[in-house]
Amino acid sequence: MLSESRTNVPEAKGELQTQEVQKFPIWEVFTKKKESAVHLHAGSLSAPDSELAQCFAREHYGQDQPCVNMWVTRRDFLTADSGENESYELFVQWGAGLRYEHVGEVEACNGVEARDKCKELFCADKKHFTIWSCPNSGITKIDGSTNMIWRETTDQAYRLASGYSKVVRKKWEALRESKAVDDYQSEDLKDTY
Amino acid sequence: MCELDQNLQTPMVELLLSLADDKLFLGHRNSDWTGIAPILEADIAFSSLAQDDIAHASAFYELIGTVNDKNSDQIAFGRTCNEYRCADIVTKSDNFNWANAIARQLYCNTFDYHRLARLSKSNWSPLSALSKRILAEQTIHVDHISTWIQHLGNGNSDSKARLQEALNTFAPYAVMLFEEPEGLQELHDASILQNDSDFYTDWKSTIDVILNSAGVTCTCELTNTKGGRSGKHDEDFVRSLAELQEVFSTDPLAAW
Amino acid sequence: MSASANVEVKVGDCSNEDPQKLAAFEEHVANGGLIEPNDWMPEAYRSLMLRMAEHHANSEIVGALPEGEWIVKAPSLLRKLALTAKVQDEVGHGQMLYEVAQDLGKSRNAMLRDLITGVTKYHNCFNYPCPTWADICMIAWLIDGAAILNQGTLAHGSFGPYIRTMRRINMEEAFHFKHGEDMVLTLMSGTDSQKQMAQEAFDRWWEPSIAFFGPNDRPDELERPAMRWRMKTATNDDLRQKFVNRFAPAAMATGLVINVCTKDDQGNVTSATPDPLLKLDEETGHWGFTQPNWEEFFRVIRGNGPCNKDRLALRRFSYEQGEWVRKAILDGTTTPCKN
Repeated sequence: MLSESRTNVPEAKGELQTQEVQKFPIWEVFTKKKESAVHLHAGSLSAPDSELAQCFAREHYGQDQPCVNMWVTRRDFLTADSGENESYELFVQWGAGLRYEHVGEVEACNGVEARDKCKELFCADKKHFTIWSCPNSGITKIDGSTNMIWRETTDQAYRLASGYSKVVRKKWEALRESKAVDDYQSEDLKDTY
Repeated sequence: MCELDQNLQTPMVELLLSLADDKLFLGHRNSDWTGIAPILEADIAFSSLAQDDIAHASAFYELIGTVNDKNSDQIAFGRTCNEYRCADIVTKSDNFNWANAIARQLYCNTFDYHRLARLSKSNWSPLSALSKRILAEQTIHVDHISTWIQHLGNGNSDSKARLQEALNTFAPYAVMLFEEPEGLQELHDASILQNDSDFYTDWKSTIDVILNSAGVTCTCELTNTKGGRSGKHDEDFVRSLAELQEVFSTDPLAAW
Repeated sequence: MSASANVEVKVGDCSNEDPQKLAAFEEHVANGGLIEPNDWMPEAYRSLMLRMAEHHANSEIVGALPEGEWIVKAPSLLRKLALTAKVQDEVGHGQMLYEVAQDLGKSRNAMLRDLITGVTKYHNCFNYPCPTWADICMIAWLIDGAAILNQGTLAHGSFGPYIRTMRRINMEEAFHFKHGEDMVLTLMSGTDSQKQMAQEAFDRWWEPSIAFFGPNDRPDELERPAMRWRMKTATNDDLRQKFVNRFAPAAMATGLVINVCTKDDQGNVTSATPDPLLKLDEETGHWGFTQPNWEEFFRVIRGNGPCNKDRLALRRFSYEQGEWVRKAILDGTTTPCKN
């Protein structure tokens, strides 16, 4: 069994016997956390094709928080200059360090034109850092309301910090004075929660 | 209909245990891949599905608890070997072979899909309501595993051969999923569930469609062998159960 | 759990760079500016950032191994779900960090291969054994607690993709840490044997937790490239002190005793005596503590810890077992640009 293999692994040394497998293409994932929100860049992943990229994206970037909609596209589409005459989704990174944010859609005949139109229509007088454009034919759009992403049917509190706050607080208060618990937990709030 | 007749409680618990135990131990075996699967992305995804299965098991143990008034952890962790009702395919060792894990997953996920679809039509509303909810997640599992089957079957000749071998190895265990929980007839007689002769053929045609798109096959035949549903388990199950209970059994009454 | 705090920085040579570009870069970074992958950066910055992200990624996926062993033994449905999700998160962090590193110029495959052949390192704390369930509880509370402190400061660094990843990671680590607290508090509110189990695990993990932040600061710490270029925004000793200030009183409140321990080669505790330096300095607000055994720390880093061989062997075995799968799904992609 796997668990037994885990602890009885033959020790291996020296060079690997196999060649490196060629690099998979990189995919960018955008998630929308609730209906009123816009798609934000969630992260990237490596996958050989669109079907597996979707499977991987759903189960990784779709499971950290509630997610109602997800877009998956190849990274090289986002910066391509060429393209067909069609509609393009536009994403703006407003400053270095920030996440790309979906701003809208334009009709254009290639990537360059799409990004130019984006500057004009959506960035106008606002300072921005970089723009991604993606032809709609190159995006897989997953709608969580018809094709479940975030698991709504079972309790997901076990994988969220908030799922433990009350019970942990109660257990601390059985051991320490409230004031000491406050001091200790104030650290929690600073950066990360 | 929310109240269950006294005399139907035992058969209902048997039925629910067969479902929940299947889910628990499938999740148990699959969660063991977390951190060591062939691709990081696949590792993460497979772990999500394993968590779903454990969460589904948990929901069904809770439902059992409403019938026999026991706590979910006590039901899940606190029985002796012959009191578990899973079919042994769920704990059959995959030997660190991804093809085995995928084959096992295909058989079990498609079976659960059809099982939950049938339970969704039960007359006992707590069962039908829960099954309907879980069925939505089960659909994701079937889609996910189909993608894997297609990628391995249509990958290269090596992967196709490995997948075919795994499908062959697990096929005799897959049919044991169809062993009927004890007292099922009583639930049929009471119209809690419909007697359903198409269960096996529906399942078989689902996997045949998936396997066909991957250029591989499954040859199997229903048998009347008594196994997991009657509490008769093989060596692999016994080893899985020992792991499951290792910490819990040091003090079954303690909170962990 | 994760970390990159103890990456040894040896590079930083910019003598071949265009002085004007370099000066503009350093000014930008010193003023709090951020760097994205397509921006100009000195080669030394790129290679240091790559090493930091790679080391961090390695630590995540090796860190998934000791805890992964305990998924099948978790003693309740909730613990089983939470531990699986935690280890899964670690794999996810590894994946995201390898993507960050990959964009700086080294393929994921090359990084995985360097890891399993011992060319690159991972965080030292994963070379210690986890013999009981209580070890899992202590790791989640102490090591993840230390990781959050560290990564909280890394999230204020200068490299855009890395800090975005840190923010996301910290959100998930918050769950690991809270769940860890819950597990430790459960044991310390439990039976005598649970308390004893917790104390024994605490004795094993206190020292790796305070060593987690890496070696003591050097006199020129603030001048070194990682600090100068704001890859790190806090020094090892400052973070360590902050950790002790928070966790020492909390541990004592649960009834745990903070001991100074000696250990054998397998990582078993051979003696434990209460830390004689453990005292609150009312003036500074800092808790005193005995430093980790640095000699042992460096011995383990060099590959001679209790579990170094096991961790690498399992990672390597997993890599080799998965080879045919990676090959198959790539071969199956008939058109490379298929969407």
